[in-house]
Amino acid sequence: MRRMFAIVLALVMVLSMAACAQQATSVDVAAAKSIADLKGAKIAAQAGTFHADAMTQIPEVQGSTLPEFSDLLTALKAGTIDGYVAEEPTAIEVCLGDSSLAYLPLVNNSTGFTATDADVGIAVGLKTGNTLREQINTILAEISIETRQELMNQMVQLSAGKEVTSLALTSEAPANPTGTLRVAMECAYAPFNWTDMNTPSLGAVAISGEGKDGMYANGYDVQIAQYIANKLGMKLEVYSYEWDGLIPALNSGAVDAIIAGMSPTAEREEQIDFTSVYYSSNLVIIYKKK
Amino acid sequence: MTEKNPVIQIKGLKKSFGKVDVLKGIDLDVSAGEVVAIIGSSGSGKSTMLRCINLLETPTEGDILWHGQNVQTEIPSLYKYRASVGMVFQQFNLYNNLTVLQNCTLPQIKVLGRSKAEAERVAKDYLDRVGMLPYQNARPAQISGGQKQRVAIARALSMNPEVLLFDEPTSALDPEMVGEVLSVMKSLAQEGMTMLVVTHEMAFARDVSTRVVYMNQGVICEQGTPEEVFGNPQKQETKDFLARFLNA
Amino acid sequence: MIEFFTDAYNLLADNYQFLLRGVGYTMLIALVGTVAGLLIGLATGVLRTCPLSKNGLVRFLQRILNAVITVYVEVFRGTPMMVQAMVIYWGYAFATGGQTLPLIPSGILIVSINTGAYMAEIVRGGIMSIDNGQFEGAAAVGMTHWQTMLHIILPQVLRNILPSVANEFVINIKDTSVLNVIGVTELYYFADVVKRQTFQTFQTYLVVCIIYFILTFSVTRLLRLVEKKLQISDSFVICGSQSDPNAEIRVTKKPEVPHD
Repeated sequence: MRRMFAIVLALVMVLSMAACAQQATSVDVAAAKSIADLKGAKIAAQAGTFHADAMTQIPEVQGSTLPEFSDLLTALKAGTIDGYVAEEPTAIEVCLGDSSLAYLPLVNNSTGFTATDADVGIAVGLKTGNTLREQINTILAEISIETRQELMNQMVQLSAGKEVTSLALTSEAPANPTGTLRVAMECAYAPFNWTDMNTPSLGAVAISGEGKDGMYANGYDVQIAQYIANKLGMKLEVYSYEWDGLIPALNSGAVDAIIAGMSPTAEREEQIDFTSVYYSSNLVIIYKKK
Repeated sequence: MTEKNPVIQIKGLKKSFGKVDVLKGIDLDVSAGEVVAIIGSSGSGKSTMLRCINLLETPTEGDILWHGQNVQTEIPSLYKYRASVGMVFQQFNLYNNLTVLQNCTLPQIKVLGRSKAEAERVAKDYLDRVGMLPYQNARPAQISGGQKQRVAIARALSMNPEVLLFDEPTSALDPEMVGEVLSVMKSLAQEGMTMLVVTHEMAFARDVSTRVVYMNQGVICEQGTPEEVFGNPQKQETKDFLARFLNA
Repeated sequence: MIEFFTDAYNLLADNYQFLLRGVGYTMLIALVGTVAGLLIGLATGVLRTCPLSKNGLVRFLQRILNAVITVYVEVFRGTPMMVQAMVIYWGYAFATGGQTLPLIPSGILIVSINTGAYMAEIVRGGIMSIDNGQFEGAAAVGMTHWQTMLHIILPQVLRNILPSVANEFVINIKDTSVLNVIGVTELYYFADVVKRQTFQTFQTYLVVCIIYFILTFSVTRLLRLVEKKLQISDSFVICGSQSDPNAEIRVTKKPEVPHD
């Protein structure tokens, strides 16, 4: 009994010491004008993404990575980090849903992170050598920058639970589909792709697979996927996989394409082909308001 | 007395466990109707010899013949052979998961292919003979040592064996339970059952057996009628053993 | 604080269908996986204790089979189930050029072979703990290895290992959660989805934690009851006399020994 007490006491001491240490190094994120001002801050990013690489551009950053996007938010709310790297649409969406959060509107290659289109643009992933690539590029080229921006704004609204009456990007479903386009995404990265439980939001598509009844995917990626499928004259099927399962799913042939907010980085280019970029966003930092 | 065909013949049987030679060449013939008591001090190889007969131990050297057929090479089925040579163990070895009745019927059904009804009829017959019929639904854990051994005998008899091997059947029993088991064995002997009995019960050996075999250090030291071995032992070792035993 | 519980309640109210479905699949996979694993364990137990044949070819095959079983047990006990799930699921997809295994059956398969590896050791221990006299008693009347195992040894082993099997079942209820890496829709998978939707990480996991606990706790109690039941049927009768069955002192009612 006494030993238990001693252990608990020791734990409390260690924890409170850790808490002190955290406060001592805290950086005022809200006041930062550029990533240089974030010097020494505790910043996190999702593991296995360009965000994690970009994070290291912050001078003397105390960086950490977590496997999932929602984990970053949890870490931020729990106070273990000062902020985390996110794409601007995501940041808008998150801040709309939670008034205690805000984001630093950094602009790539000026106040923000140094990044190319291959780093922060997102493209459709295809199995190496897939001949659909040229067709998809043509289809994507038809979507204007304005339409893209408008669609993204709508998706931010939708995922934050706001009403949207008609979508900016629409297309006719083919009367007689010539085949099925199986698309993989996480369904966990709003506003690019997320899951609706029970009630599908405007334009949502049912998730395929066993035991997934009543689950729908929606988001910017889903609308793009729907558009591509319709233009190709194919029927769309959405499959949800873990982030690390997306490339195996494509390469094994389980799906035909990845449309999952995935950036065409050089490492990924070695394993799969990418189409042209269908959205490009600034990398920003989400933080908790004081 | 006419010479009968031996049921079991043991020829030059040797058995070693690693470097320890337990049996150093045994020759023994057993004819139908004989009751052979095997006596000897602990470690003399009595039990090992008995276990070699039904191949619970594999002989290192030598042959066991069953009606003239070598049991290791010539008999059609080891399992059928074992079924016709019943064995009663020192530790009873009843099947703990089965009732008394099931203990006696399962081997009949599985090995002899008898129907359940027939197996039960036979089993109840023998359980009645050993006085265990009222306990037919009890489990081994619920009955005493003496009762277990009587069930074990009924189980062996239910297979209608030609020969019964007893491996120190009373050694693990409390003294007051020895009698009930010996009386069952005695009545079997009187009915002409062929029996090989490894025992420390000298009274049983003297009064019931037709032949006494004295084993010492892995060989048969002396054998003969009970009168010969007990009344007039020829070898010094036999005399010493009997003297030690009777004084103990 | 109150807000927290309201959050947790709303979370449950909004998603109970999904969580319930998750519970269903979790229990299905854990139960079938445990039973199938037990059967694998029993089969390997019988094979591994089978005496080597005199026939050279059969003996050679037996040796190979034993080696295969040993490798199976070591590999599946020595690697995390999450990794096994990834390797089997994606391995199959790559091997067949894009065919994916149906999710629930592959979940059951993965849990089964994983549990089987543990059960093989549990059963082996169970068989080794059975008194040698039980084997000899069966051999002496002419029973074969299979007959001995099936009718004498395994029933006793099963009774002895029941607590370990129950333990495996409880472990499996919890461990099915790793199957979410391949998208099996068990309880944790839905917890993950709900968490991503609501961003209420702590609330979601607390709710799911409680659900898991209710599952494992009720299963533990239920199996404890079964264990007790089995023990009762084995309660003993003290014998007052060797010769007179009426003199026995019965401690429990069963099994009934008749008066005469």
